Amino acid sequence: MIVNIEAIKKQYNMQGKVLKSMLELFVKSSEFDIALLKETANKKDVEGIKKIAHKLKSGYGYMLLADLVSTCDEIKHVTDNQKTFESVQPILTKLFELQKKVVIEIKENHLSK
Amino acid sequence: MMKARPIVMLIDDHDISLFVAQHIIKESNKKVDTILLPSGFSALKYLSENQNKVELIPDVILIDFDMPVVNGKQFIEQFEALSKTLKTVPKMYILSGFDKKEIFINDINSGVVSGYIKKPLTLEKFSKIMN
Repeated sequence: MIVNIEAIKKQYNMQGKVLKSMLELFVKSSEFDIALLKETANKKDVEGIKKIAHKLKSGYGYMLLADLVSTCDEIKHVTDNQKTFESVQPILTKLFELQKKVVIEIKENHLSK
Repeated sequence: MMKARPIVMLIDDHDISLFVAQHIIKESNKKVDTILLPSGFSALKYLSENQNKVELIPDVILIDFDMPVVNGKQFIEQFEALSKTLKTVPKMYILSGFDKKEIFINDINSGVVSGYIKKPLTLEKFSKIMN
């Protein structure tokens, strides 16, 4: 399990419908931002990639997704220092894979019930 | 007109951040009213339009630093000028996912900003502000 639902419940004192609404909101907004990130990556816009990754990081932080938060930090670090699309590309691939797993997990285990 | 309860204004372009912050405020059992706004621009517009209505001016502002249109830094600069015309000046806290508090040190030292809160907002962090 990537999503620690019990930790989220505890952190925000959240459960039931409110928790489900938060998960739905996360899936919707992160999928939107990921689509935007893919579009920006296709244009090799490094500065744009950095901005979207920062926005995604905020949502991942609220969902207590440490691996995704650190992947976004990695993107920031690389875009700040090397500033080339080629250097950030493998980290983006990692981010897309992790995001996909998280969304599948949330949909299958928490939103389908 | 008197204010029935303190008002907390949340400014963030991130839906989850606003959702969680609103939930945290509800869970804190603090009797406050909330104003949720998606940008620094809409917050400045609200404050400007209601500057003479004490009952509508927030007591506390929680603002995300990294936003499009008018970001946190631009908001602080414009709020500083606007605050001189407000009947009461809200306490402002920067809410951010950035790791280094040092990034905002000049803004915090300016006197307009009361403090910095690292995202995510939690019950403990919110209670600390309100106490």
